[in-house]
Amino acid sequence: MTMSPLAETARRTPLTTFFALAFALTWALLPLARASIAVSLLALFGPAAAAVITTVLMGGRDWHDLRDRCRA
Amino acid sequence: MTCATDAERERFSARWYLLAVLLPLPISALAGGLESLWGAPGPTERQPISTLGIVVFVLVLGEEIGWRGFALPHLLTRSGPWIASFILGTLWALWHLPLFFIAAIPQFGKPVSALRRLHHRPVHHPDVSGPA
Repeated sequence: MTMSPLAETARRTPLTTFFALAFALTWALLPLARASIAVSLLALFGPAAAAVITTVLMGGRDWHDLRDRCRA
Repeated sequence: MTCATDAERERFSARWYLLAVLLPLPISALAGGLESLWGAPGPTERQPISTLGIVVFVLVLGEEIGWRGFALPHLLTRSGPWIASFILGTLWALWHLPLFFIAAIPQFGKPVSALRRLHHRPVHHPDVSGPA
């Protein structure tokens, strides 16, 4: 099975992928923050979304680690 | 939400918990004092506790899934806790930087508040390692 370029990048460089996604997801929403406070609140989920996306792209191998480290 | 495993919790000594709880107080006092010197309104005058504030607090905790839940363990696999914390703290601060320049966001116009962020990253027990 061939991996997508993004998945391959995530497996090779998970940290770079995570930080790139965290910055991109959040900063992309910031210009819209003036429109609604809801948008700026949504932007705060950038790092969490980046962690989930990167973990999924990596094939989910760290999913249990992520879940275990972040349980209430 | 703690973003730490049971093994990590057991390996933290009391002094690290004490440091994590108490260190933000003098740093926040310093930041608030400097802001007041520069003419900014006091923290309670500026941001009374509100439902929105509580919601924001909860959402900020959501950030930690990324920073502490994902990034820190991966950084710890390739460097020691101080270097890992420094790298993460630097990128974490950079991630927050635009918030100080957007009028619709609570951090706007509070440059010294960035000082408060300094307490946020560097405390990590030296014995705690990342995932295998």
